[in-house]
Amino acid sequence: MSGRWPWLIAVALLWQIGFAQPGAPAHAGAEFREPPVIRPQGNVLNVSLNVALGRNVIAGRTLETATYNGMIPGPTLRVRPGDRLAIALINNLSQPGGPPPPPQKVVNCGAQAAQPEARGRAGHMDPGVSLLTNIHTHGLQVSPQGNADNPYITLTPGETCDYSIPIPGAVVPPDPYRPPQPAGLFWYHPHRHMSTSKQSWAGLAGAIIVEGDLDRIPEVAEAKERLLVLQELWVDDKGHVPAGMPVPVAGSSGTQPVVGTEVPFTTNPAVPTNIYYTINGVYQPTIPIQPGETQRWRILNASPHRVYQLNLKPNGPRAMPAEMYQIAQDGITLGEAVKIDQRKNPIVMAPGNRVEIIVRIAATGTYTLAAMAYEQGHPGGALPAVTLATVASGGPVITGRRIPTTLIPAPDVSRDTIQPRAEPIVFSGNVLTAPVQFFIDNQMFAPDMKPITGDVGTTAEWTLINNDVFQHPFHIHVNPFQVVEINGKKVERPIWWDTFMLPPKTAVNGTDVPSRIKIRMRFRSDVTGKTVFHCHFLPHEDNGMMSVFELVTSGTR
Amino acid sequence: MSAARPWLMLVATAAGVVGLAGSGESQAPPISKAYIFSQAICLPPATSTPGVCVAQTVPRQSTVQIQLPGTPSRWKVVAQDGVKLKRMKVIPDPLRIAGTSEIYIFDFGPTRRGTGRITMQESPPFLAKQSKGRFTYTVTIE
Repeated sequence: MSGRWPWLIAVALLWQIGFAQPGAPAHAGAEFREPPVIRPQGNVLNVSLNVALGRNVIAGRTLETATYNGMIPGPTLRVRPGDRLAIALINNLSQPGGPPPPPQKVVNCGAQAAQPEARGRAGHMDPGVSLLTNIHTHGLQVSPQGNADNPYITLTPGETCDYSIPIPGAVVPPDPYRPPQPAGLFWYHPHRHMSTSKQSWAGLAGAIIVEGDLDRIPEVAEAKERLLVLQELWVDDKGHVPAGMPVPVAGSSGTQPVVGTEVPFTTNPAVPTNIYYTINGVYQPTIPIQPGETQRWRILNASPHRVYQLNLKPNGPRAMPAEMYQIAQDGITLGEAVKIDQRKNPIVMAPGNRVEIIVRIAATGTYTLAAMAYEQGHPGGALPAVTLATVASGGPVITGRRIPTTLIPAPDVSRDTIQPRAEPIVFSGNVLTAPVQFFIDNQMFAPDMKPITGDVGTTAEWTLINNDVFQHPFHIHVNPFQVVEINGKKVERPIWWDTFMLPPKTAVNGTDVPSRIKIRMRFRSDVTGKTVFHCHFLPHEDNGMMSVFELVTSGTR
Repeated sequence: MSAARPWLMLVATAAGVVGLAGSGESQAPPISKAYIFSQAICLPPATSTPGVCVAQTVPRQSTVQIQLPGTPSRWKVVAQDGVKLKRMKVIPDPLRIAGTSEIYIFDFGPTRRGTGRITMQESPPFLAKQSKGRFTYTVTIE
């Protein structure tokens, strides 16, 4: 023990003399914890997710919000390619202080979803809308039909849906249009149009970890694994997600007594609110690491609205910076580890994004993990910086830990026959009125709108145009994509995403200039059916910025 | 308990011994007392009568904030009853709402219980053109 005292005293002194930066204080925060993990038995992962009000103490306050099994976030589901997810989703939601949900019955949710317009029309002013739910397995390359990853399922309180979601395994011989599910970090969350954002602000989200080849790379395998689920919990003064209609306001308006804690939304009717930025449901936890140790952080932005530009900074002017190397994006392994320079290529995570990094800190001391102030197009300018966690480096030094270099070759579409879609897809919005309105190709989402189609077993190129100052995060179900061109400039080494922030429009000589990107994606040959693409700022999705997308066999469009 | 846990607890304990910030849990931001209104509740479809904002309820001990997009049109308070203007500022807001480039922010404090009213004037009328440049906010102060 005596050998530890010098670094202990040093850390304490650094704290005492106040190296913490204004607005980003370092605390000996709550203990870092991770959600419980559920694994398959055989090749089937059975889990019941009870969606119901639950009480959780966050930063000393008791919040009562919608939860999965009473937890924020929900349990982590850990599977392998070829497994099947068997999820009993039980809607036991009720309004705080309201009547309890009716007795449960199992419904034929797959058949019900075939007629979405029959159950999908309730509007924003109906408070019952916030009690409707379903589940989406974000990033899994699975069927959107029946009782699989079907965004048209609607469960009212008292209804249970038995989801069955086969996860693609390897096929022999390998087929570029039927790849196994990549190993990496994915997640589940509600996706019922018009209730998605509030249920996400409540904390409804959970991680899905697919195990596989990346885990077997020696430098990755020896790194201690940590899951970091980033969430923004929006609550009123009673600890509930505010019941009124969200209305965007300036997020830097000075209404809060502590600078940097302002909320970029009000409601109609207006109530006072706070947002708590948590990691695994803990407010500003302390993440331990040993000097020289490598840790593999699987980071998920499960927030409905906040973009996180992550920054890990030592709490002292002479402290050594942390080393960070990105190894995966949105559940797909990069070809090689990329060293993160927080000024030149910072980690920027839109809602829905996942990033995996290897972290190494050579010395003892404390570090602050923060989300930098970020201009995502919201009224009033950049959202303020927020402290997320303290990283405390201490204990015995670990030597010999290596950083991975070459990882796993990513799918290469450069030799595919590309089928360009002639018409661009245009994103736009209006935040003047309530509800706000967001559009894709000048239309707000309707479940029975004419779908945009993709031929299975082909590689398509789409052009996406953003005619808005918001950096709308584009997300498409089933198929990941590469961004190959941004504002006319070719991306030299494109990587794979399933959620990518469209750059904002700009003003040139007083004229608005929309942004434009090109994406390429392979439509799996073994998945057909109707699904969606949308903005992953979930208040935007709930207010129209979603479109129907149908995977079809060639010639059936 | 993992090998890392004991030293982490020691760090936290030592920080407390020397009077540092560590308390086992970080302090949460104080609970907000701000009630924020925008133009949205004064325009259809939120209100059926343009310029007559959806009535709201606020406690006596609260801050009422009104945020309104402007510039080149300007906003000012032309009447206040039951509340008193405490401060006002303007922040940049380019490209968000067509025809505006800033947000005008007004903070009021309720002065008594009962019904309060705030009338805002936009010059020249732009967002509030249908109501001759006026938005009238009504609050029940409890």
